[in-house]
Amino acid sequence: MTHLADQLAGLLDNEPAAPYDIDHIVRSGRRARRRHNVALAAAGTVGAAGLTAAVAIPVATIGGHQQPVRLGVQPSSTSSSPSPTPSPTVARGRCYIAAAPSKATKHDLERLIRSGKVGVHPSITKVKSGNRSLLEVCSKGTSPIDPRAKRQDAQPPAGPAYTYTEEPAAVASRLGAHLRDRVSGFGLSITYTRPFSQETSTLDSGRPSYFGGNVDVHEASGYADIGVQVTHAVTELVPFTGACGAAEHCVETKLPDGSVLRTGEVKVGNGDVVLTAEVHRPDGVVVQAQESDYPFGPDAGSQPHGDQPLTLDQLVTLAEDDAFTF
Amino acid sequence: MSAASEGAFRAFALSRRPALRRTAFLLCGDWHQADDLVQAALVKLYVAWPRIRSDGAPDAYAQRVLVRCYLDERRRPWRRESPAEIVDSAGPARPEEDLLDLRSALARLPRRQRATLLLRFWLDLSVTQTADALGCSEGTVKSQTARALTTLRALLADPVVVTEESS
Repeated sequence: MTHLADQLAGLLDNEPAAPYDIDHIVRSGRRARRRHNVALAAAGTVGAAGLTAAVAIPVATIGGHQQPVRLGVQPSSTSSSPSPTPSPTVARGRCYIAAAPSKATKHDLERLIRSGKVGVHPSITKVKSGNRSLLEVCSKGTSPIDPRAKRQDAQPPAGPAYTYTEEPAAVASRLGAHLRDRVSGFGLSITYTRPFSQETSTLDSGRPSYFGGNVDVHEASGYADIGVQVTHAVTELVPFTGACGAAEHCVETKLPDGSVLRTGEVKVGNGDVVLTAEVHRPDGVVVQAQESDYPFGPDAGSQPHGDQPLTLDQLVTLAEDDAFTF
Repeated sequence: MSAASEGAFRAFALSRRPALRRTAFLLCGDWHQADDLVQAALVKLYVAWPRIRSDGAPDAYAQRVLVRCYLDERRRPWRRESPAEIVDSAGPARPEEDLLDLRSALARLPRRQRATLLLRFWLDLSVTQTADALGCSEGTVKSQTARALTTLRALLADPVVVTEESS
């Protein structure tokens, strides 16, 4: 009589060596991610068209009222024209209108939730417009707020809200140009540039998404990579937010201007190492400069690995560079 | 994905790949297919990595994706055929008759029962966690577990012992 777990473990005695193909997995992942992003964008377009049709066709057909109804994507904060339900006060976010009852309503709602535009738990309110019933679907905290019944979950998010002072495209362009200048200034030859890009084109509850970009450089021994990510602490997208975490040799230093510098090293397997210098500024902006002794670009799998292109001090000066900001 | 995030993914994939591979083998019974399953699961993991990383539970997510890859794979028409006999492609035949029996017995279990059994007793997931991984109710997990164990006990010469919370 043997324990099942032991018997199962016995089946693994003759485990053959695993093929090492992490680069292949990463390349496949990048392709899948691109396809995923394209599919999401297409689904969003189709979904918006579907929702618009779901409302426009029934409303136009019935024509039961004289007042126009706002269709499709409806930022509630701008709903000054007649809308199905007056919204006395609204928070940031989005609301969508769907016809109800309708056989397609459930499908439309599921699709809307899957798209992520209204979050996982949107608020759904049944509203009347003339003799028509409509559903208003809002992301959490965005629904029309009844001043007589203030909801607990409609509290403003913690931390300061943030607004860009430049167009996101201009921020990305400026940061990318500055990184190239700095890397060239270190006497390194750039072989590949991943332009700075923003994770999303919208602000999430007033929070800035991160901007990140990187360059591959050619050295005598091979290729390596240097990248910078500019974000805000509240996005929690930075590795050392809150603690040094799992990085080896993570060191935290308080700088004279109140910034916190964290440096660390992560061994990512196969002898490859990533060095990180991260500066948390008093205004909440976080700049993370990172270098690896392997390339990142499209030919990364076939290129020989080099050494760390910068010294740790040089990497820290990159993270401390005031030009890397929103 | 940023270079930092990708570095973290690489580190995670390298460290967890062997365990995922073993689980995949126990699910499908073939090392080559196990490698395919793990690769498919890791590619899916890469796509969702920024979100998973911020959630802080990549291991559980990876196990869930792996099991679902296995179940999805078996749903595809060209994968519906089931082998008439189990061929050990990994190495020489082993003398332990009871282990071969276990492998054959596992192969006879319906795929969801097999996945349930492995999640519960190989990965030591709770009934709730298993239900979450399989996308079914806790009651279904309990019934699938009971049926799978009954089948295994009937098939195996060496009876299996499990530590069950409630099933």
